[in-house]
Amino acid sequence: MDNKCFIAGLPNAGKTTFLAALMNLISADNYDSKLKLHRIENVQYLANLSEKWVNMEPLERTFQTNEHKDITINLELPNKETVDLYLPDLSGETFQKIYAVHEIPEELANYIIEADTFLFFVNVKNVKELGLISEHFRDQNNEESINTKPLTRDPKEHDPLQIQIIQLLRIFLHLRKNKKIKIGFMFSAWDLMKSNCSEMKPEQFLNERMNMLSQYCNSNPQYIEYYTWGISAQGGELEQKDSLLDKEYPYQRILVESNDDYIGNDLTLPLYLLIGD
Amino acid sequence: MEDANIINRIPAIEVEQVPDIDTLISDEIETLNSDELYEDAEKPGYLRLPHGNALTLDEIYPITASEESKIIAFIGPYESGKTTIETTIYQLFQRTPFCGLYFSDSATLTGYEERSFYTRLNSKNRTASTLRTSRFNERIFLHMKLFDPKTNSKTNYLFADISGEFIFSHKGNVTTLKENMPFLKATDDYTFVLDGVQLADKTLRNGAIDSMRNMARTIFDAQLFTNHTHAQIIVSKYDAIQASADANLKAAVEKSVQSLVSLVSKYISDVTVHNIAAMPQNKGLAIGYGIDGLLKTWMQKNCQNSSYIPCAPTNNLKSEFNKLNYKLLGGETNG
Repeated sequence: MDNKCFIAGLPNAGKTTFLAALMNLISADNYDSKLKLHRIENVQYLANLSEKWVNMEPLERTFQTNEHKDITINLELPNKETVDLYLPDLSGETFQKIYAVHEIPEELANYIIEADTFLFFVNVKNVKELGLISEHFRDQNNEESINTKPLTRDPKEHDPLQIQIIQLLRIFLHLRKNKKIKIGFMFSAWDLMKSNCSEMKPEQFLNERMNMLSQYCNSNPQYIEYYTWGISAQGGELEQKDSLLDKEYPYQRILVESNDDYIGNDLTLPLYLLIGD
Repeated sequence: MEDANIINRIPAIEVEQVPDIDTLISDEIETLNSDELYEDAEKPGYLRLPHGNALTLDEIYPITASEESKIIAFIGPYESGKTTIETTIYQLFQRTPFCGLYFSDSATLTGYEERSFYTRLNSKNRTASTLRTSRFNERIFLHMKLFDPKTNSKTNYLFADISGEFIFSHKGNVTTLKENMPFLKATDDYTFVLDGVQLADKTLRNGAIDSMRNMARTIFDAQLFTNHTHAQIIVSKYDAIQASADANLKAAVEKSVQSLVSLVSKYISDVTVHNIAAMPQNKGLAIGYGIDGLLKTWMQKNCQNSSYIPCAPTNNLKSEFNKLNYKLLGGETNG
C-alpha cells in the first residue's frame, strides 16, 4: 500500500520542522507513536533534518532551489501493515508563486492530481485580522502620521492568508477536476496560541481567525473533507532552547492537539487519521 | 465618504497617466485588468491556472448556463461607491457568515483583492478607497457563490462592476447603449447607486437625481429589462447624510429619491430603496451599514434572466441546445 501525502503551506508555515520532528518520532524506540518507521530506504535528507531538530539547531529554510520532491518513508501502521508515504518538501515560495502568477510546474501539478491526502500548514503567527481603514481611524481616533505613501499591492505579501489558502484549494480542485480533497489543516506554533488562549481548540481557531476558509470548507463537503490540528513541532521559540533541551527526550518538546481531548506528542496522529488503516 | 484627494495618493493606473487620446483608446494600454496579464504564452513545463480576476461576459457563461445564478448590474456615476459596496460584501464574508449565508466559492478572488486593497490598513492608505473601474475593461463581473443552509442551496452572484464613465457616456442614447451593452437584458437586478455625498449637497442633489433618471430611462427605453427584472435604488455613503446637522436633509433626500423611484416603477414593478454606508467614516454606523437589507432583497428574488445571457458564440457554446438558445436571443452562430 502507498499513500501520497501532499504537504502544502506558505513560507514559514512549519513544513520542514514538521518533517524533522516526524522523522525523529517515528524512529524513536521509547515512544509508541501510531506510525513507526518500518524500513530505512532513502531518508538521508530527513535524517539530517532530524539531527538538527534534536539539537534545536535552526533548520535551513526550504527555497525553490533546495526543494526535496521525492521523499518516501516506509511506515508501519498499528495493524502491522506497511505504507509508503510520499512527502515532498516544497518551499512556501512555490505556493506563493502559484497564487500570484497563476501558473504551476507540471511536475507539481501531477503531485497534486495524484495525492491521496493533503496536509496544509498554517503558522498561527501569520494569521492577521482584517484591518479596515474605516474602522481603525474612526474607532481609535488614531491620528498617527500618514507620511508613508500608499503601497502598491503585492498579492503574496498583502492578500489575507485565508484568501491565499482558499485560492490554492480552488487550484487543487481545478487540477483534480473536483476530485475530493482529504486535508488536515495543521496550525503550527500552537504552543504560542495556547500560551495566549489556553482554551483555544484548532477548529475554534479556524472558525474565529479564518472564518471565510471555514465557510468555504463547510459549504463544500462534497469536495473537501477536512480536519484541524494544533501542532508545535519545535516546542517553542529557538530563544527557549535551554529549557526545551532540558526535556528528557526530544519528542517531549512536541505538542499536538486535536479537537477532542487529545493533547500529546504524537505527531504521526494527524497522518494516521488521514491515511486510515 | 471617499476623499477625492486620496486619488492623488493612490498609485495611478497607467491609463490615467496617458495624455494623448489616441494612445488612451488604444487596446495596447495596460489597464488594471489587462488581458495580457493572463493570456501570455504558456511556459514550457508549466500549466496556466485560472487567473482569479474579474470575468468577461464569455467567462460567466459556463456559470450562468449550469448553476443557479443572478446577475446584478450596479449603475452609478464615477465614484458613487459601486465598487466599495461590492468589495465590502466580500470583506464582510471574510469575518463571518453574513445574512445567514456562507461563502462557498469565488472565481474572482484576485479581482476582489485588487479592488479591496486600498480599503485596508496594510495598504498604508489613510482613507478607504477602491481603484477606479476602467471604462475600457471587459473584465467587469465579480463572482461570489453563496450557500444558504436554510434551503441547502447555492446561488452564484455575478456583480457587474460597470465603469460609471462608460455607461453614463451612453446616457440619452438608446442605440449606442443597446449596441454596447446588450447583456444588460440578462440582468436580474438593476442596482442604481446614488452618491450620498452629492445628495447631501443641495447644489448637486437635483443634478445627481436628474442624471440617474436619464440613465435609467435610457436603459428602460432600450428595452434592456424583462418582466422578471428587479430594481434597487441605493443611497450610498449614507453616513454623509446621517452626520449632517441639517434637520431637513433626510426628508429632502427622501423626496428626491422618490422621484427616481416613481420613474423606475413605471417599468419595473419591484423597486426597493436602501440607505447604505459600506465604509462609513463616523462612529455612528457599522461597516457595511444597510448591506444586509440589500443582500436579503437579492436573495428573495427568483433568478430568471441570467440564464438568458446572450453569450458570444465561442467554444463555450458546445451543445446544439446552447447554440439554439443563442440564436433565439438574436445572436448569429457559425454552425
